[in-house]
Amino acid sequence: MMRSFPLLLIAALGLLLVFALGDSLLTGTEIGPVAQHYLDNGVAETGVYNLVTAVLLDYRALDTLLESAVIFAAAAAVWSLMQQRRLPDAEGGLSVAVRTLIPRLLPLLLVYSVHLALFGHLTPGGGFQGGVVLSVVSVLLIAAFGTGYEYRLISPNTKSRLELLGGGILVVIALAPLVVGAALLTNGGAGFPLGQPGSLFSGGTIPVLSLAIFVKVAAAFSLILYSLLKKGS
Amino acid sequence: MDVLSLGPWVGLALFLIGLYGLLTSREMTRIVMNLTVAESGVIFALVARAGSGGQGAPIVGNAAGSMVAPLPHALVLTAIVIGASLTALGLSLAQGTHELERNAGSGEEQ
Repeated sequence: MMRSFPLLLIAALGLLLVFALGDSLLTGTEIGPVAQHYLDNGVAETGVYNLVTAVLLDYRALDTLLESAVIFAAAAAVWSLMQQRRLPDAEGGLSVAVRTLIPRLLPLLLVYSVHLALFGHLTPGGGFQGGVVLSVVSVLLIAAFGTGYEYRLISPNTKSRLELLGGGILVVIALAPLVVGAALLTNGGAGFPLGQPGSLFSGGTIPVLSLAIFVKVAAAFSLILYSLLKKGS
Repeated sequence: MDVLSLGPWVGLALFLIGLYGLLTSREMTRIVMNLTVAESGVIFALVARAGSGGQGAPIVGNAAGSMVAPLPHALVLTAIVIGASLTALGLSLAQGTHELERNAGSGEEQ
């Protein structure tokens, strides 16, 4: 009886969820009024083509600001937890094949990540995606040459400063609309030029926010990954 | 029948599987992994619900015809990033607990 109790509990919850969400989530197909508004007026109101970016960095930019605060908190927590392990940085890394291949892959990854961040308002992509791709560079460097090499190349202190820089730019842009009396993180409504939709310099604050998030996420995740991979093997 | 319309059901199943795992596992790493499975279920359901087959990505000027709703995608993007941060935090906590237990174990042996 006790062993099957969790299964019964989950089955009951499943039934409850099917009844509660049935019409809206499970079998519904219509698009909600808010999403429909974004589809219809997104380009005119934000000046960007990628409507996911428009939601993320304009309509719901406050969520994104707080999300970056969560990333900061996670990076700080992981770093301080792993800081206590006084393990030496590993040298050497993997085989010759890996060490030959990875330096040739890195330029591609760098260009790809910057492209994702820079054109996030026009094509699929954005600061978060670009930042995560860039942080993978750290993992590849550690895999090829060991944590010691990665540490000397970009030290954790540099990463935390870069993250602070990204976060600082986010906060400054968030507060800037208050000067003209608009709400926090207002974009076009606060007088930022939206430009010609479809061009690189369009969307007011959106490309700048995207680049700031790019730097911040790349630094934070590379710090997290370095902390997790730092094993005195 | 549209394959995408099955998506929310798959998501619900994944969510419940993850929750079941959370209830029945005691090891930290497994708890973190089950949390990830449950979270993937929610992500799966939301993305599948954003539109139906044949609709394009919510990027204007990219494809003709109707587009999927951009809002679930934006929500899911946030959820993925927060989920990755939480997984990292959970794993480092698991590592810390593991080392504490190992140190306590070796202390008793001596």
